Amino acid sequence: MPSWQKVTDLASLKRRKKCVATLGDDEILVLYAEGRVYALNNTCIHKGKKLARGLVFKGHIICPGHQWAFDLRTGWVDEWAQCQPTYAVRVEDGEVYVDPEPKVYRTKPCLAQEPERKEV
Amino acid sequence: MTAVLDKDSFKAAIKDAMKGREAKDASFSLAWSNGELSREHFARWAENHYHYVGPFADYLGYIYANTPDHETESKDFLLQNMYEEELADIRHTDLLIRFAEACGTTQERVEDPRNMNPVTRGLQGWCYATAMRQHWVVATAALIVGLESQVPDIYRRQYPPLIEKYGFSEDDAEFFELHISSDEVHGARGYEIVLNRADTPQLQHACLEAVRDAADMRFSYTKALYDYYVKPGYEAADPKVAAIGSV
Repeated sequence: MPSWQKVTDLASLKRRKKCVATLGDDEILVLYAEGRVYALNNTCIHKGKKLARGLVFKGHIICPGHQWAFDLRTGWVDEWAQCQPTYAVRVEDGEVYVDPEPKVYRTKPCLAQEPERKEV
Repeated sequence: MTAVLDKDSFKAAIKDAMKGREAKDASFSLAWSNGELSREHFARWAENHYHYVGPFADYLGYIYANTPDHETESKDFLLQNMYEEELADIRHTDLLIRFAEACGTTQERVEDPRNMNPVTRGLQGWCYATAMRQHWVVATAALIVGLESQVPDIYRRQYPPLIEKYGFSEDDAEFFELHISSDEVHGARGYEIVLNRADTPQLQHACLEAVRDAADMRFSYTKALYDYYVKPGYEAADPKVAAIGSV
């Protein structure tokens, strides 16, 4: 069962587009992009740079260090066939919740099997 | 061209314009991949490459200034490329200097414009002139699509031999690993601008010409590195080679 943790309210996330929450030992980057909310681990799996300093481009967060392009939905980076941990997100009554249990793919994920994210 | 090409056809025409001119196939690139170069050759490469890529944010700055205010998305893409080049983390040219120092040259020599050859000087001047004087979409086609988007294909071939054949550390060669991913993203932003904003037959035609010219410029620059720094060594070692083509 997910143990949902409140990380921010939707209105301020829409204004600022991103926020960083600390849940346990993990820094989690919560992003509002293209009308949806996403959550990834903030520390890049490649060289430990902070993704919060990166830019969003066509459904990807671009790491500021080496421009690895992580798919916002799955954390997968095609070029290097690796995966940034992502987190399930829930939006309810104007609040944003994250399940701190990370999800990491070992092989390229099939997007058709991904749960659809609703626009908020 | 009398009608506007759809995006897929236009993209195919852009790729076609670069065919036969890709810098990955120039003599210096082939010698690099084949393990024929020395650290001295790489030092000369770095001393030239700095003057081509060092001003890249300058080039993009001129294009940015020529892009109309209402083209917000295109302006943002240009600014994002500049930010990642210079400020997002380590400055990309700092990684180039780190590699140069591992090759035995110095930051002072790399930054000194007297150490580039005339063909590199020509490439740098062409980049400035294109950025300043061409339509902003055409300049984007030339510099980001024609030049920068070639980089991942070049370094995917050239990075592994740096580690495996030439004995550089991953730290020394971080510049190359970085550009496999960074110029994939930068090139994709360039394509977004060109495919979406070259919306007349005339603009599309001008973009194709610019991409062709850019690929020619990069090919010539890469070939000249071989002609200036590698070929003389072979000629000195074998007088029969030196005699070929001499008058």
